[in-house]
Amino acid sequence: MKKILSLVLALALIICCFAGCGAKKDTLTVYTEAGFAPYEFVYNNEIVGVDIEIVKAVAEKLGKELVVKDVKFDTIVGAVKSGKADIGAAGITINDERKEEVAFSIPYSSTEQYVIVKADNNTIVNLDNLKGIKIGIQNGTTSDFMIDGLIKDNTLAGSTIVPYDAPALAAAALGSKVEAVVTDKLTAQIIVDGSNGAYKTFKLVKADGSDAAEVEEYGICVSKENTELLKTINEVLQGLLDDGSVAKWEKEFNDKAATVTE
Amino acid sequence: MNFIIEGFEKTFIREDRYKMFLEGIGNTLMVALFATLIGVFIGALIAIVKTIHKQSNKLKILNAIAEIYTTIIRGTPVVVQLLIMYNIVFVWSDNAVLIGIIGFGINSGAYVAEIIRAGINAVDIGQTEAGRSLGLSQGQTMRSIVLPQAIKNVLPAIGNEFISLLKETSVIGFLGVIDLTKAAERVISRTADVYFPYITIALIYLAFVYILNYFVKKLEKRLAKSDH
Repeated sequence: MKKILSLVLALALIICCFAGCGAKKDTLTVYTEAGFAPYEFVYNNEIVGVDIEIVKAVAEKLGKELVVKDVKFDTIVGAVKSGKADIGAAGITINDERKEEVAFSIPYSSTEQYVIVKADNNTIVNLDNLKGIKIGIQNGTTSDFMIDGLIKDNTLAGSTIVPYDAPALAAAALGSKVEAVVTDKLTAQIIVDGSNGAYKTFKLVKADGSDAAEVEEYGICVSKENTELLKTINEVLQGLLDDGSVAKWEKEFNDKAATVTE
Repeated sequence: MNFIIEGFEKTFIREDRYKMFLEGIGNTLMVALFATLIGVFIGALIAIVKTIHKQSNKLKILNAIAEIYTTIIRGTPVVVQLLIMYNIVFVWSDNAVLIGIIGFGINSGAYVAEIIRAGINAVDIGQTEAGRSLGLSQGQTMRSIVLPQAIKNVLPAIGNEFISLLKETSVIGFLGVIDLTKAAERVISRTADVYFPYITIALIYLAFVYILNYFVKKLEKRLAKSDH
């Protein structure tokens, strides 16, 4: 029995060592969900996008090896908080609730909410028309929180949210499981550009034409304890914003994502 | 027809997306295989502890641990177990494939334990009595007389466990492992075309299960033959 017991302990030890391999110090682990073009998406079997370029620059500055992990969007902030990931970069909108959990960089991009519908749909043109229908949304995103809030305060009485892992997955369900998809501006445009004219998109406005939601700003998040890293990220980001790199990448990856999705 | 050609092109050919499916197959097979191995190891230990406890009332503490383990594992969903493993137990590691293997292995162990216990029970008690009366200790009897026969009994069932793990691992994308299912979702997140990716992976799973089933059946026949 002793032999078996020592065998078990040895095995447990080996497993622990192996699992520990993930926790190296010379790497910069970034969590993202690669279904959000142009910020992060899979291109030629690699994760690319604006966010990836930014964290590449950060890793370079720190002299660390970059590791990008493709996980579920709604787990990213939690993983950054628990220290599993060093950085969360996934076009994450800065909001108060997330700020309670993690620290955000300076904003590097802003967006508005857009609606995607089938091209032949002429009944849905503003916020009021979203009442009482099924709306497809990427799980855990600001679109999710916003529409959820509007349903709860009865602005969108009778509507239901159908959650998806990626906006494009939600768009694929247009006309069957959902009647409209709400997502961020650039993402919506890429999906529509790639749909061969099957879908169209427009800015989410109220019936009187005024903005339905505030402009949102994207930030990169790190653990609150990691003030050094946050400082470096802010320095790098400021540089990239000043020399126009971020704007250049937004256009570059927008084109890249749209041309190959056609 | 155009729809099929276009769908195929955009799902597999464009940007070499077939490579993602290949990577997915590799990860799915690897997780299922190693999880089965861990499952068999844990399952055998649990089964032996439970059997010895039942026969001689020894190993009270180990038996209690084994009982708690099977109760918890069989009483909670595997996805929840994986999320706990990934986000709480191994919070310091992000080796999702390995955590997945361990998670599924521990899960499988509880089920394999029952399989092996049934296998041990199926070995006539007279075998144990004979071993004991020849002067072998309880451990020796278990190791060299009962277990070899029990393992023969349960090999096909363990093959089936591997087959069901192969399918169950499709939830491992939760942890960010690019398994077969996650590969399909990644492609869909680019193409917004659901038909080809989902139908394809369904066919791939089916093909693997069909082939493995064939071998398990063959093994069953072989083992049955040598009984006579």
